[in-house]
Amino acid sequence: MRNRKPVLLVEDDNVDAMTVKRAFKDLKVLNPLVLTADGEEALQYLRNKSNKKPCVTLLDLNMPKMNGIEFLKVVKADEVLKKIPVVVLTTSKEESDIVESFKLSVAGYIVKPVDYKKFVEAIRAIELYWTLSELPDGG
Amino acid sequence: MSILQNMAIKHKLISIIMLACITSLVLAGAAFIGWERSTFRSEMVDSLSTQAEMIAENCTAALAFQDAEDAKQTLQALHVEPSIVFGCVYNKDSKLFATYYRDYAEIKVHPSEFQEIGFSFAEGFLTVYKPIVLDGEMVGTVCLRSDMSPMYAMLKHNISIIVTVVLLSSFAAFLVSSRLQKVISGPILSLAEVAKVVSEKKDYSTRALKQSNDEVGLLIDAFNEMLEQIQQRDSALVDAKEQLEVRVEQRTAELTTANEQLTREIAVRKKAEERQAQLLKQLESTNKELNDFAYVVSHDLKAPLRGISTLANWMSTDYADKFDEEGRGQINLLLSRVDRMHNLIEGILQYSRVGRVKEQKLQVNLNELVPDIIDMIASPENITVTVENELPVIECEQTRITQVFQNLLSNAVKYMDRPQGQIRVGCVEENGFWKFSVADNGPGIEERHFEKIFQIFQTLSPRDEVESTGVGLTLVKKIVEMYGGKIWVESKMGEGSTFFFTLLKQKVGGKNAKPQASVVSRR
Repeated sequence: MRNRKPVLLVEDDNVDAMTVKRAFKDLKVLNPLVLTADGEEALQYLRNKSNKKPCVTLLDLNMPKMNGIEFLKVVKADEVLKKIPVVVLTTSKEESDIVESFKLSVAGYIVKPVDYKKFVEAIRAIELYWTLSELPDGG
Repeated sequence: MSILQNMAIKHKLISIIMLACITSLVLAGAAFIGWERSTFRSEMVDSLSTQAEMIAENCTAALAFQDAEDAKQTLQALHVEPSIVFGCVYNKDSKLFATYYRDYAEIKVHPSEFQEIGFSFAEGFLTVYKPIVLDGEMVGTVCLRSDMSPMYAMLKHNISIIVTVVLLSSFAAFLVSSRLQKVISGPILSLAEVAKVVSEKKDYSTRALKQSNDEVGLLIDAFNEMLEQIQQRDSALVDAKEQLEVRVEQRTAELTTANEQLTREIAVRKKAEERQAQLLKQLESTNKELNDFAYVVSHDLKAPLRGISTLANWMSTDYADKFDEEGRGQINLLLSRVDRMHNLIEGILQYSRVGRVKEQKLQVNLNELVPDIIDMIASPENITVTVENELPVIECEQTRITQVFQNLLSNAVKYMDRPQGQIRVGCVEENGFWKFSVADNGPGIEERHFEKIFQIFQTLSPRDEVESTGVGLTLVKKIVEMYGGKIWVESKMGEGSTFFFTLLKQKVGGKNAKPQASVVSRR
């Protein structure tokens, strides 16, 4: 990524979290990966002043307690938190999910590939993009 | 006549009878008096003529001898006849020769002048002139004059008698006709009275009394018969009215019953309809739940599956040196089963998405879409796919129609066992439907499998030979049926299969209609 701020991963599936972690390691992404299991946990992290604000949030949609769309609704209503780009990383190919996500100003929407190698490619793309793209400062 | 017409029939009859009687009596009296007068006259003429002839006979000598006194004596004999008031004899030269007067002044009875032979009635006298003939030669004329007044007096007397008789007869006729007119007018008046009663009281049971067997009797009979008929008709009318009332009442009752029944039926039907609607709603919600269920389940199945896949992948790479050949083979089998599982779940997801997720319907030009799908399938070089004829423009969700052709074409490619594979796409119009066909010259399908192949997860080849989920045709069937069409297969083993499906032909979608939106190819 463009800076060394942490990347916030909101993901309830351990293996998927491991996959992202492994992909980061394989791709030698230096940003630390902060793992939260659902929307509520992620909000707690974001609202804790002692925590560093992430440069990018990777968000799963299907999660217990607070799902991805609910999380987005809260975040995008927050003047500070809405600046942090959110990339949806999900298994859902549903048109409604895609439309709903982009209505809530997500920066990207990637369907998790089943194959690990393809998964790595996806993470590589995200890494590349956010290295090229400017990121909002502060927070 | 108009006076007669407006009279009462009684007076009419009396008047007619009286008129007839008086007319005949007067005529008879007049005739009698006329006859008597003429008889009197001719008798007088005869008698006076006879006397004049006698005088003439007796005076021939006096004339011959110019003896006027003798002639006068002869004339004097006339005094025995009181009616003769004057007599005279004229000589050959019509000069007065001798005269006779009776009680009257000369001027009064003397004829004004000499007249011809014969008789004449004048001034109340009968005057007769007779020639006096001697030896065949007229020597003078006799003139006798008779007074008519006795005769007139007699006539007057007779007339007064006749008039009296006429008056008495008329009176008698009046009395008789007054009595007898009742014979005719009585029944008519009573008939009129009955008619009046009938018309005033509307009582058709009244009858006129028949008093005679004449025309009036016939009239009364006819009148009574008419009354009888009217009475019958009246009572029939009353009966009919009563019957009608009864019938109306009956009908009203029937109608009320029918109405009540109808109301009940409507209520029952309404209830049934409500129940049907409820059931339909339930069915719809059940269907939706099922779809949602399939979606959620498949979705949730995918997550652990991906975990398995990822972990197996890592194991095969991270511990590659620890696995022997058999171990690696097993890991690969595990990965391939994971793939198959993934495909199955994808299939279910696709299947549940049909009907659950609605896309906007567009005018899709199949002449553009189908070649795109053929390109997308990327069939091997030994298989040729051709579109046989011009395809229509149809209004539908583009994703769905793409799925239909994609599955049918990819099946045909997948199962092709010939070195020269041929796949043909065609379309004909049939009974308001477009009938599409996808025909191949592949292995063919046994007839017993014609139904089975459209059921979910049914495949005819072992999965390790041909990778198939068994969802494709089920999906196609669901889509086609959703659009109100049918799908079926015709096939002969070893010769190939033809899949047919129909789509309702819309009014707008002609073969030459312009598509509203251009086809977006590939996904």
